[in-house]
Amino acid sequence: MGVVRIPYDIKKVKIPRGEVHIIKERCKGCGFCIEYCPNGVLIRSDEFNAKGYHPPIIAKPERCVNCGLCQLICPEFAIWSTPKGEMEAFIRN
Amino acid sequence: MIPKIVLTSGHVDFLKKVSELSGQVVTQCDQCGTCSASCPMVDGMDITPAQMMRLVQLGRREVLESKAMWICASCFACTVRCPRGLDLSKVAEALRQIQLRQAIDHIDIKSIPKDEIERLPQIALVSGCRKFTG
Amino acid sequence: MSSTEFTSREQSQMKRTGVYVCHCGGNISEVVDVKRVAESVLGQPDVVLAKTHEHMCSETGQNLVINDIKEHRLDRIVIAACSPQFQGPTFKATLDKAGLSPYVLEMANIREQCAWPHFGFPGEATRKAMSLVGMALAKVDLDEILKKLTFPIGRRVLVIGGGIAGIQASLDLGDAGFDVYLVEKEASIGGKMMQLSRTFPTEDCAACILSPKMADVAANRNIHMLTYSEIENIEGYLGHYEVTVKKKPTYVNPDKCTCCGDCVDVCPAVAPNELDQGLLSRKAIYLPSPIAVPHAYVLDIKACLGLLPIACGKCKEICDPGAVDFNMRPELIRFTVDTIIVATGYDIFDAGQKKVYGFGQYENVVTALDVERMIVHAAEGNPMRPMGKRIAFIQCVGSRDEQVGNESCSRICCMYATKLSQLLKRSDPSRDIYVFYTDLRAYGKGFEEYYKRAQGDGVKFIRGRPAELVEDPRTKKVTLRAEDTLTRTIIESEFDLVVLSVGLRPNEGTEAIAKLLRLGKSPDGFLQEAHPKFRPVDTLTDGVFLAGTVQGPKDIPDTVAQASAASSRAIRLMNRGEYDVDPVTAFVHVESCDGCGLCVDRCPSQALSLSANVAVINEALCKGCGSCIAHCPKAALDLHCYTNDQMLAQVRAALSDKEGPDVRTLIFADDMTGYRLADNVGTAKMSYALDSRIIRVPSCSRVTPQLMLQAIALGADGLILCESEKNSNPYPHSVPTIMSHVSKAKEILGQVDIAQDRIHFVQFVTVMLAGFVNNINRLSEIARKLGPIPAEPLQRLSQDMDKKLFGGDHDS
Repeated sequence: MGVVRIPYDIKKVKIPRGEVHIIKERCKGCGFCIEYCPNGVLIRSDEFNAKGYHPPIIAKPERCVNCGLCQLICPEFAIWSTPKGEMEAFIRN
Repeated sequence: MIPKIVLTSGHVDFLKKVSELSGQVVTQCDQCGTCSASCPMVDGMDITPAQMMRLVQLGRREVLESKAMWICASCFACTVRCPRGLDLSKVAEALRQIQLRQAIDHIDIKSIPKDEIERLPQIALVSGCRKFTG
Repeated sequence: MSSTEFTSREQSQMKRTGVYVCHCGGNISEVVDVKRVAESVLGQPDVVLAKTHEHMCSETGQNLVINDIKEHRLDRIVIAACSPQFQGPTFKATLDKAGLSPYVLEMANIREQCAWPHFGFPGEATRKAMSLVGMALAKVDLDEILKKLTFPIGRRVLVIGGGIAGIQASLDLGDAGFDVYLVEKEASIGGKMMQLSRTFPTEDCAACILSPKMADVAANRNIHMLTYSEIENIEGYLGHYEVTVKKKPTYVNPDKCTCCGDCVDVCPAVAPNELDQGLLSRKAIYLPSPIAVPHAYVLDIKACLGLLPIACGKCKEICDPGAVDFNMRPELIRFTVDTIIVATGYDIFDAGQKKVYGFGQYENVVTALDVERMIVHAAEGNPMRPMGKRIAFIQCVGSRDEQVGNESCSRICCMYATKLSQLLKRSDPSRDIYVFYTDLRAYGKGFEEYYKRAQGDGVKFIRGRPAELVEDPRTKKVTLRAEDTLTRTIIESEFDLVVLSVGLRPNEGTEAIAKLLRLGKSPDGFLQEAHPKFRPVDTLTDGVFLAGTVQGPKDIPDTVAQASAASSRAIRLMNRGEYDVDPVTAFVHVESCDGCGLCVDRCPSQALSLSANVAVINEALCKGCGSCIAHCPKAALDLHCYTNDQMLAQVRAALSDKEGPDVRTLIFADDMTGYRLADNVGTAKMSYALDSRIIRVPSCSRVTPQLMLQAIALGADGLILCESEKNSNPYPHSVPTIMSHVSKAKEILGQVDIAQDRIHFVQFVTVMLAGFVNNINRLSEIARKLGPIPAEPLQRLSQDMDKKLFGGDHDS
C-alpha cells in the first residue's frame, strides 16, 4: 500500500489503557523506561530528583496500553503501570 | 443536419499535412476524451479538442472552419495529460498554420482610421493582424 | 601449426547433399525466386539434388526429404526456409525419422532474414538468398555426425508464489507424483484471489472456490508448503537448482494453534489489515484471513510492541495450548530442485501516482480492490462504510497511460468494473452507477453477455476518460469531469464515491527472482516468455517456467490454464528421468594441444581441466559458449556444431559473391537474443541494409579475435556482434569476454592502420527492433564511407597473425 491509510473502524476497536505511576525519588536516571517504552509515552524531564537525576515524565498518557515493560525493565522498581479500562485504538507506526 | 461523407484519398493528404506540420502521429489518438475534459476553454468551443483530432484523422478539411483552434489558449493541459503521449497543442498550431498560410486577408489594415489605431491596445492590433491577415 | 590456417579435418568420403528451397506458401516465393535459388546450387560439388516445395514443414514436405534421403542416399541436408529457431526442431525430427543424425541439417533463413525484411527488393533478395544457401552449404559440408546429449533429472520442483497460479501448478505436480516446494512470502497462500468478492462473469464467490484448492494443497503429501518465506538465493542449472529459502518466524506454532482468538482480545497493538487493503484494522497477532492456509495466527513483529525485550507478552500468557513461541527465529532452509515455476503474481497500480484523481487525499476516492473488500463485508452484514447513491468507476487507471509510464492494457479491469458495478447496483437498485471507459474489453467466454446484463441492469456506461477529480471540502463529495465522446458533450458531475479501476503491475517480489534466474522482461515490465506464440509459459532459462500474472495481466481462468501448462512443461522435462540437450559443447583437438593449461582458468563454468598433459572438457558443465576458444594459442579448442572450420567456411561463403564496389557486412547474432531479434525484425517487415549477412552463434563469445580479423582479411567491410545484454544473458561472463575479444581485434586493426570502427559490439534485448535496424544500417553506412580496405594494410594484417594475437610465445 503506497498510500498511508487510517482504517475505517479504528475508533470502534478498543485496546487496554494503562496509567503510569512513577516514584521519582527512586529513579537513577538510567533512561531504560524512556528508551524501551514501545509507544513513546515517556520523556526525560528537566527537573531533578534528590539524587540528582532526571526522572521520566509522562508525555503521551493516551498512548499507554499497560504493556508493563517499564515495570519489568526498571532496575529500581521506580515505575509501573496499572490497568485503566479501555480506549480507542490507534496505529502505532 | 447529419453530414454524409465519402472517404477518398484526398482526405489522406490533409491528414498527412497536419501530421507532418505538427510532428504528431495523429492516427494514434484513441479518442479517450481526456484532452476535452482537461481543456479550460472547452466551454467556449464549437468542437471539442478530441473532436478536432477525430476530424483530422478522417481528413475532413472542415475542421479548419472551426473556432476551437483559435479559442485554444495553448495552456498544454491536454498535452500533459494525453495518455497516448500526443501533443495536441502542436496539432492545433498546425491547423492554425494551415489556415494562416492561405494568406487571406479578412481585414484591410490600410482602411482602419489612424485615430482608431492609436486607441486600440497593441495586443489587439498584433493578434488581429495575425488572425485576420495573410 | 599457425592459428590462421584452419586445415580441414573432414572425412574422406564424398558428401551427398540434398538442398530444399521452400516457397513457404508465398511468404518466401512472393519475394525470392525460389526456383533460381535451387538451380544456383546444382553445379556445386556434393550437391546431389535441389528441389523447391510449397510448404517444407508440412507432412508432404517432410516426406519428400525422407524419401529422397532413402532413394538418393543423401547424408547432408540444407533447407532454405524459415528461421531454424522456428522449424529447426521439426526438420531435425524429420532427419531422425529418416535415420540420419539431426545434426547434419543446416537451415538457410531466407524468410525472417531475407524475404521478409527485404520485401521491396526481389532481385537483391534473391541474390542474398543464394548467398545464404551458399553459407549453409559451406557449413553442412563440415557437419559432424552427432547425437543428442542425455542427462539425468529428478522429480523435484520449486514453485515460487502461492497465489492461484502457484496453487494450481503445485496441485498438478503433486497429484502427478512430483515433489513440490511451494514458497510463499505471505503468512497464508491464496494470493490476491483471496481478497476478491465475486469473480466475473459467473459471480462465483472467490473465497468459496479458492478455499478447497488451498485445503488440497495443505493435504497433498507431495507438496511442502513454506509460507512466510522468501527466496534468498538460487544457484545452478536445470536438474540441479540449489535453493536457499529464508522462513520468517510467525512466533506461533501452527501445530498447536487452535485459532481460539483469545490472543487477539488482549493484544494492545493495532495495525491496518492487509487483507482489507488497510481499510480495517487488525491486532499485531492476527489470523491472516478467515480461510488462511496454514490456518494459524501470526504475530507481525513490526506491529507488535516488541520481543527484544518482550514488551507485553500478553498473547503468550493467555494462550492455553501454548502455541505462542517467542523463541522462534528466522530459518534458512536449503534444498535442491530440478525445475522451477515462477508464479509471483501482480500488485495493483499505486493509484497515488495519478495525482489528478486525488487517491489518498480524497476520502471518497477508492480503488476497485477496496470495493471488493467493501462488498465482502457488506455481504456479511458488516458494511465498512456507506457507499452512497451516486458511484462512478474510472477505467484505465495506471494502464494505457504514457503519463504514468505504462502504455499496456491490464486486460481485466473492464470486466471487473462491469462486475462491481452490477453487484453494487443489484444490492441497491436506487443507486446511480456510471462507468467511464475508453474501450470496453469483453473478450472472453461469457464476457459480452455479462456486459450486456450490466447495461440491462441500468449501469450507465459513458465513453470518456475523466481528466480530474475535485473534492468539495465541506461535503467531501467528488466532482468528475469527462467528455462523453459519443455525443461530444462535457460531463461535470458530483459523486458520493469514485472507484479507480486500477491496472496490474508486476509484483514487487518479482524483480529479485528475475535477477536470480536471469529472466528477461517484456516491454510492459512483466517477465518474458521464451516465444510469445509457441512457448508462452517457458523462459529462456532451461527448466524455469512462468505461470499466471507474472507473465502479464490475465484473469483467473487464463491463470489456471497457464499454471497447468507450466506444470505440464515441467513434467515433460522430468518424467522420463532424463532429458536431452543439443550437443553444442566444446571439444579438444588432442593432436594440437600441448598441455599449456592457459585455457583452464578461462572457462566461466569451470568445465576445463588438464589431464595427462591434455585439456579435458566436462560435458555436463560445458554450456557451449565458446569463450575458451580464443585463449588457445594452438587452436586446439573448438565447439561442436559451430566449429572453427565451419565459422570460417561460412565467412568465406558470405563474402564469395562480392562484386566490384559491393560492401559486405557480417552480423554475428547470438541464439538467445541477437538471432531472435533479427527474426523479430523480419517478422515485423522492417527493412535494413541488404549487404548484411547474419551468422548464427550460440553466444558471440564464440567469435574469436582470430575469426574477426580473418573475416576482414577475406573481404568483410564491417563486423557487428549482437549479443544478449548482460542482465538477461544465459551465458555468464560472455559480455566481458566479448568486450575483451573485440578490443583485442580492434587493437590489431589499429596496428595495421585499418579503421577500428569497422567492428561493432552491441547488446540487445529481443524487443529492440528499431535498435537492431539502426545498428545494421549504421555499420553498412560506415563501411560504405570508409570504402574498401587497400591491399597493403590487408597484407600486413594477414602476416604473423599468430604473433599479433598471442605475442609470439605462451606467456600472454
